[in-house]
Amino acid sequence: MASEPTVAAPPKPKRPAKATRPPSWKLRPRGLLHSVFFTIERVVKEVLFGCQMCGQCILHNCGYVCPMRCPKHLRNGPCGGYDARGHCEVYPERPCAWVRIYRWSGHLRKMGEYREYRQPLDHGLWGTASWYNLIVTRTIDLHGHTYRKLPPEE
Amino acid sequence: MALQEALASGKFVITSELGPPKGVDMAPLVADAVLCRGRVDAFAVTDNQSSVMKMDPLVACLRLMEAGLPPILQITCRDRNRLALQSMLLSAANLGLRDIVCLTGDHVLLGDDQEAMPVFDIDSVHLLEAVQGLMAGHDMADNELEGEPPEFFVGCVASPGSIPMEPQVLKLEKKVAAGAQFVLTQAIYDMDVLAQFMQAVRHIAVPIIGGFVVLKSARMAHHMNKHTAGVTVPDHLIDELDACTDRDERREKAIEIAARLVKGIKGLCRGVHIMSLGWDRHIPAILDAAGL
Repeated sequence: MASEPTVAAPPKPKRPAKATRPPSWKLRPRGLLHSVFFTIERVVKEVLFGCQMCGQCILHNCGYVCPMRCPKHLRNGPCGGYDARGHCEVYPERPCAWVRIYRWSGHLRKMGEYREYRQPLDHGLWGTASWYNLIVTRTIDLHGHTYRKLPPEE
Repeated sequence: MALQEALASGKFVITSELGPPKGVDMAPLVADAVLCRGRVDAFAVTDNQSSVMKMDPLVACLRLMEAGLPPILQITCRDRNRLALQSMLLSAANLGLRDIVCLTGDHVLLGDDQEAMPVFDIDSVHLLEAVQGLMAGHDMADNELEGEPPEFFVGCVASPGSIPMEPQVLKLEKKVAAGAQFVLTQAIYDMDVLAQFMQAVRHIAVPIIGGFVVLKSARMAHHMNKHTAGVTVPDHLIDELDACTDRDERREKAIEIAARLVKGIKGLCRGVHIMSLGWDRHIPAILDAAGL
């Protein structure tokens, strides 16, 4: 291998504590109706709840705290990684999303919903509007259950 | 298989944890683990623990089996999507590995290569469900498997030292409902907290194996307190290690503290999971000191 001049690597910048959406988020479908739903939903939910637009919203089941703010995208409860303050071990300046969900579910008397099992994410729905998926295409239900299936073989 | 038999026999189960190498040579690890043969019921093999890249646990488990050491395969959701996780489970079944533990895994930002993609396609509850699905003969998308379905003895992890504790209890309920047959806990040093946890989960009817990391030095204990969420080493244990002046004395003290923890856990749980972090050759001494 030819020797190359060694250059000291630049110091790594401190990571901003915000990136949780996967890149596929940007490839959302086009279409006027979807764009209308998307814009309204995003403005309302992102401002109020820090919505990550996963497309299979379970906010109402999670004490109105978005579980997709968790860097591990957990859907069924916290990992073992929250510290004594209830902060995330990955981003220590932020509270653990699931500890917040637990506390708010308690305040709002939604512990029954907290205890519900939630199925795996359909990663193809990132960047789509949940309300559109619920009402128009009917690919999700109110418990985050997704109905996307492979198209039938011709 | 070995773990399932040990738990079924009613004895107090002893498991330890081995980390595969950051390299290709399993020989030093196997040599250390062989010293525990007959004393330890099964050896859990970690999966890129703490998000530090290591050899795949599947191959490490195979080498342990060849040496006559019963392994437990740990699988995390950090590095593999659901297809790769199910592939790994099928491969494990083909190799004859039955004892597995499903966990979420640490995020890559806690590891030594922070630019990697954290996958987390599914969480540990989904993975436990996927195991049940494979055992029933279908994959996560309800496609039929070919031939005989695999069989597993599957476990999960809980963190008794986390504050608040209730979310851990509620998640454990979900994991057991999804098919977990035993529980390994995160490191716990305060027996009062462990007793509280065991009381909180008494309605969950699966065997719980209490775990701890062998405290090698006060510096290590401080590091764990600062950096490992959910794990608190009490001050009196740190003081005991601080009081030691030389390496030999510290090692003896570490073994003595570990033996005390084993005895404490014996009074509360169905087994003990000793995370020796490279000190596997001292496990027989720890067990001798604990009277096991």
